[in-house]
Amino acid sequence: METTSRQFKQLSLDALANATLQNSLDGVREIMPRIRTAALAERGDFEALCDRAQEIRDRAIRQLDTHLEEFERRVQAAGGTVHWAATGEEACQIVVQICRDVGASQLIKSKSMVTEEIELNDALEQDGFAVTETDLGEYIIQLRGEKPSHILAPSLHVTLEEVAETFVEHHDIERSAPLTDATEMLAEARSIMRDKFLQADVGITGANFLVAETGAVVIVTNEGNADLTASLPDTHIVVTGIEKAVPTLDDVGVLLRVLARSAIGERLSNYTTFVQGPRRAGEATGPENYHVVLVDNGRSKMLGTEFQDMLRCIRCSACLNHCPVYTAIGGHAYGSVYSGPMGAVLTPAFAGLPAAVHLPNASTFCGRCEAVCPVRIPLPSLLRRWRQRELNARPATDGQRIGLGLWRGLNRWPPLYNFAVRLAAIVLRSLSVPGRGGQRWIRRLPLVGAAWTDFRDLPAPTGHTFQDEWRRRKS
Amino acid sequence: MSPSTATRASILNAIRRARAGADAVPDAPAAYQTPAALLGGIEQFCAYAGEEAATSERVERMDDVPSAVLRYVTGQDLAMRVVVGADLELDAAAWATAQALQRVSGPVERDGDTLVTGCYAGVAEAGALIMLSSSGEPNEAKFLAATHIAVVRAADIVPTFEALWTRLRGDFTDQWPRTMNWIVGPSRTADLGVPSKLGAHGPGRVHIIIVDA
Repeated sequence: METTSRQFKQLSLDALANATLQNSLDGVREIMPRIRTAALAERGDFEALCDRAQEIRDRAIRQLDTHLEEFERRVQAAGGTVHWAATGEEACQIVVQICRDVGASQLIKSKSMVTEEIELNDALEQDGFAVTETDLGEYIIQLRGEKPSHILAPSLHVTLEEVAETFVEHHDIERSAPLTDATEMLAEARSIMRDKFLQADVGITGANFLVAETGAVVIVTNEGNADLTASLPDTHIVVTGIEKAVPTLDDVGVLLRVLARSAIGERLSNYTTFVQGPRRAGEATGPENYHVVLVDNGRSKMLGTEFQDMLRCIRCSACLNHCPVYTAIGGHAYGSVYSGPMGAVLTPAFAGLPAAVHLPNASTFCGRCEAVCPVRIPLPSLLRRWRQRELNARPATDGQRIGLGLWRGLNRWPPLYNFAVRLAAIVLRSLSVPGRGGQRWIRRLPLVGAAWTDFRDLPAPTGHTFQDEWRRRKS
Repeated sequence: MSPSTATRASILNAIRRARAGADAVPDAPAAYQTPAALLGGIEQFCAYAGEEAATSERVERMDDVPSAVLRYVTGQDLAMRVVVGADLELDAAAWATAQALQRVSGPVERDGDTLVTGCYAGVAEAGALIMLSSSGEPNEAKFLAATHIAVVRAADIVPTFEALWTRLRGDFTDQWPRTMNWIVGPSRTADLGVPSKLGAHGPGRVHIIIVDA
């Protein structure tokens, strides 16, 4: 997986200085937690559903071999073909070969993070195929030559004005007035896409779940583009990760309940599609060729390791929407198609720790990601494990060694620790000024403290210590 | 061994190696049971579909459907041409009571038509219409149409996903239908700002006619 995660620090600074991006991220911060909370309120059993969802995903990945074999058997029985790809490159080759075999030229795709991960579009275009993304957000970033900045809303960083500019630049349409209205933009995209849908030779989709019980591929969208992608062209190719398999339809029901609520604050997405093979005898339409490409690309290597829990992920994006780091810098700063807390755990696993070492460090461990995760992935613990691996892999920097050495020294001498903490509380208090919220704030700190105060104020301590308070309340 | 067979074996082996060192996997618990307080019926189905911008009405008998379709089409100022999907009960309805409609059997035209279809079921907990592919009806029509009028029998509206699975397992023991499509209200996109815009790729209008008898 190609990443630019090494430039995380510079990309984050750029993102913080980007006013239009900050505006979009304000929207995520304000809207997404609110609509999720509202959707949960009506389900008194949401916590029980999450317990069950965790149990389902945990059991599924522990028996992945059984479920994948059963799924494969069912797909084959229905007349489909299952392919196995160890790497992203292999998966791309398989898809390219299928497209060649059916003599395709025009391809349509519905949104899929796995195909972003393996850079399928690049491989297809290099081979001369014309690929059109049909999810509107993916289509916008495809025209702009950009990567997704959010796993669910890939064009989150693009403003409506920028969408209009992009459409004017790429759409060969006579306009009597400037393009400003979102409804007109939608009508324009819909009309252009209709032709693409009707002309396409191959439709490529991802999958949200693979069901061993029926051999179904489950695809969730709001636009309905996956349904057209899966039903109009003569060939349908599903590209998906091996970890998506679950045993039964009962499992899918529970997962769908937590997925849409966590993702977009809805009871269910507008379209949920179960595909169970190619066109049947007697049917006038539907794809004649049906292929499922199961992609490993680093997933099986996570099994049996401390990162196995990450394979439970159902890509809802709640952890991104609730992350103070993601909502400050957006997805592109992560330099990986997977961003936010889930991306900071997955990217080192897929691209290697040296390439992505900054990502697990970009967390305050505030724990909101774990609190909102519908399959209860212990994201902060997994980030901490990457940091441990980083420390084991290379010597600490001078700064880390001195800092941790001082901290250790203080902790070994309680009287010294107590004195230092009391002194710090008084000194910090004296540096503070009254500010918003009736609180005192520190505007500027010297030395390493400037790394904090250059970007935000530090809330001033009360002037006495936790231990003082403890003693006061006990007496 | 072909490269693909070798890859398959190596992936499955990697999974089994990890599994070998782990504890035994416990048996699956019984299917999830929704608390009784959350279980709903037709009213919940209509309310939830309505919150997702679908409209709905109830009629007594299948023979009332054609006039309901005519009322909706007239009320929305749509063309009188309606594509009626292949459904024996729908075909048998009293279309003579809605002479003004120009009823055709398809296909749906490029820029959208009004499509009338039957439904396999409705699920109250999500306001979802459940449609199965069939030999008589092109599956893509439901997504190409500009307006979708879905006819569902009151008796086919089930409270939960679990109740739907039970019905499906009773109806399909050997081969499952090629596709099953769940539809909640009109197609929409959130990629052009808040609030979502309706009619992204699929229908911009979904109207549900519930037949009581």
